[in-house]
Amino acid sequence: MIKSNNPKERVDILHHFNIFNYNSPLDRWCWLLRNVEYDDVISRYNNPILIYQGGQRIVFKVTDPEFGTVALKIGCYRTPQNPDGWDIERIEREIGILRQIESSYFPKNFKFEKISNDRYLILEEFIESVPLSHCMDKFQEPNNILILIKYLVTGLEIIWNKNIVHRDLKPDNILIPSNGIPKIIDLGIARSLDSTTITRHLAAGPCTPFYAAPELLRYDRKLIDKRTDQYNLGIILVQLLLKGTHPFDPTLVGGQSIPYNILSDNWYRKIFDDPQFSKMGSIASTLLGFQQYQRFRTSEMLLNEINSCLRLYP
Amino acid sequence: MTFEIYHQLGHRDVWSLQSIDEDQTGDGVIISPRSRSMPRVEKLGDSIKRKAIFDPQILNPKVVLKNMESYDFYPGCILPAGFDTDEYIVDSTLIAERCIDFQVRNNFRFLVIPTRFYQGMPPVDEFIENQNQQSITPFLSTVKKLGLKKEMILQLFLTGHMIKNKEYTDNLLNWITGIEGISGIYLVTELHPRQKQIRDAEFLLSLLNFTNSLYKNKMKTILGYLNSESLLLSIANPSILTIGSYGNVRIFHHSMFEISEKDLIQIPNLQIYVPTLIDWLDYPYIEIMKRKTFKSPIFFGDNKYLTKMLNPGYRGTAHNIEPHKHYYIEMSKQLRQIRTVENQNRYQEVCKIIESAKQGFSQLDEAGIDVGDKGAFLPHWLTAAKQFAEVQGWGV
Repeated sequence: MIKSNNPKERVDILHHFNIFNYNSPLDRWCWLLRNVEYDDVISRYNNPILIYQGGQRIVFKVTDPEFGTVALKIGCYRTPQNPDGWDIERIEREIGILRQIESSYFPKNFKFEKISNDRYLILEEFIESVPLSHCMDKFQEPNNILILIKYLVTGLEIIWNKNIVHRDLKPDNILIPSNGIPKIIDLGIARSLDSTTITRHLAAGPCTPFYAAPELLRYDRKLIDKRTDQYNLGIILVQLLLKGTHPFDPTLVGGQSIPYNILSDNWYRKIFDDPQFSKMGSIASTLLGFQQYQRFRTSEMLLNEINSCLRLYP
Repeated sequence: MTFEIYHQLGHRDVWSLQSIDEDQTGDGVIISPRSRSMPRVEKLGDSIKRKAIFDPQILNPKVVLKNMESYDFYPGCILPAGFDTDEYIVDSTLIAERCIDFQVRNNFRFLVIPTRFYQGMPPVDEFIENQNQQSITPFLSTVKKLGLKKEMILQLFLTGHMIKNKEYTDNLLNWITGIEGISGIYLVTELHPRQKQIRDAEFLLSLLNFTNSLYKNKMKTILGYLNSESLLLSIANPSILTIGSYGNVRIFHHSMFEISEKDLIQIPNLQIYVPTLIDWLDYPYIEIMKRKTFKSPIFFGDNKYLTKMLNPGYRGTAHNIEPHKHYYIEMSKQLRQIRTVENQNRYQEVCKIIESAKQGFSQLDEAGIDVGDKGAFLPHWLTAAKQFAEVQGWGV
């Protein structure tokens, strides 16, 4: 039993004894981290600050002579576990979308290149922020919540207008900077509705099941459209009203699990019996429409509804 | 939401045009190529065409009836020697280009994208894929290529089997509400078998729900080929209700587009629309009713054509103009009355009309006037209205 949770130390121990438990997320991550070499890249920068160590990549805050303060991401796109290198497709898709977008709602991409040893390097706008998942308590008042949703719709409208669906909007993928205008990240599984191809990985059904619309959980490809992202917005909206509790959580509404409840259209509607929130019930219920036609047909209709509701919550 | 009243043109379409002009019985017309050749459509005045909807009627690509031969966009005109499905797909762009050109040239109110009629209930994915491939994609691509800004309406033919199946309509609604660029649906339904008045509460309720779903999506809904059920359907907030589909020649059935209109025409008994019954009665009943307690002309719909028809010397057939023009006035009067109110108030008005008609039939029965099972449609209508109202939270 390895007790150390210090990543660097844990990696060294695991490798030394070659005792990875691949069912353990932490151990899997440790394997990958060990295999993502980064010293050769960060040695080009003064005072790199490690800001994130994820499953397949490592992120530093660095000062780039050309772009200023940026996020430097280094990852490994082909591993023994993924010999086909599916991850690069996901990354290239994200970069491709970000380069089409010039918006304050999405991080700017400055550079992307494949480098030696099956690695990639990304230079991206550095955003001083906290993920929404870590600051839900800041959104207490209905009008603050509505304004956040309005910002998110305004941001998403940019990709929707390009016929792209995010497909993985969740509090972890929404960064809240100090000015309160959110940044939407992780377009890795976003998909162009014009695209006729889809990766093998995606065909298995991408998305975070706790925030996925029913059609995404069923992976009913023909039904996935711009309205699919509205469902995630609906969950986030109600989750904020519930002070962080997921509206499909079995502890609130019964059922076996959150995905099971999503597929059963079983969510905590009673929140809107509370007079404080009742005026938001129509927006939430429409966003969480089980069928797409029960959601807002256009982003314009959704924004109009939010604006009308905001007038009720001055 | 208020609605407009359109005449569904067909056999004797001149009578409708006259009625709108002389008696103000409608806001516009839906033009039928099956009944009016291309040169005759082009000759219509600009004021009519500007408000008119052109129904391309490409529901059965293999058949081209007489008047339709004068149009150049029918598959059978483009490929007179016949075609297979693959060829049809190739030529669907040509069909789209010609059909759009005709509609734009005549400056009709909307640009209607036609779709095909499918019998029964084909698998929904197949239905959608075929409609997209053969019609919607070529039409939308052509519109984009030409840079047209005209408001577009999608025509949809649905059978009773389709409309009554919730899973099927969910799929259809997901599909049509996701088509970018269209602002509404021109919906034509076929219920088979059916009587002149629809006696199927489930069908009517499903149609109300379907229409209301489109309304909630802020889409225009044009309900084509309606008899007096237009009164009931008004509670689901359609944009345009049609009048004029009351006889065998006029009630929609896909076979109408396989046989020439002339072959369908029989000479039925002279009938009169009785607004208080929301139904048509054979003329001989009228004579008896007049002698009994139903003396007031209001019962029969008092207008200038009734006066002519009640004249003892009047000997007419269904080919006479008066019963039709009488109907247009009375039907449009009823519709105009209920369009001034909305939602729950409209529902209550419609219920009153239906209840009143039920009473009317009871009175006929009590007076020894046996009209058979006429009036049997009313419980179906009331059931559909009440079930719909319950879901809307209007109370029953």
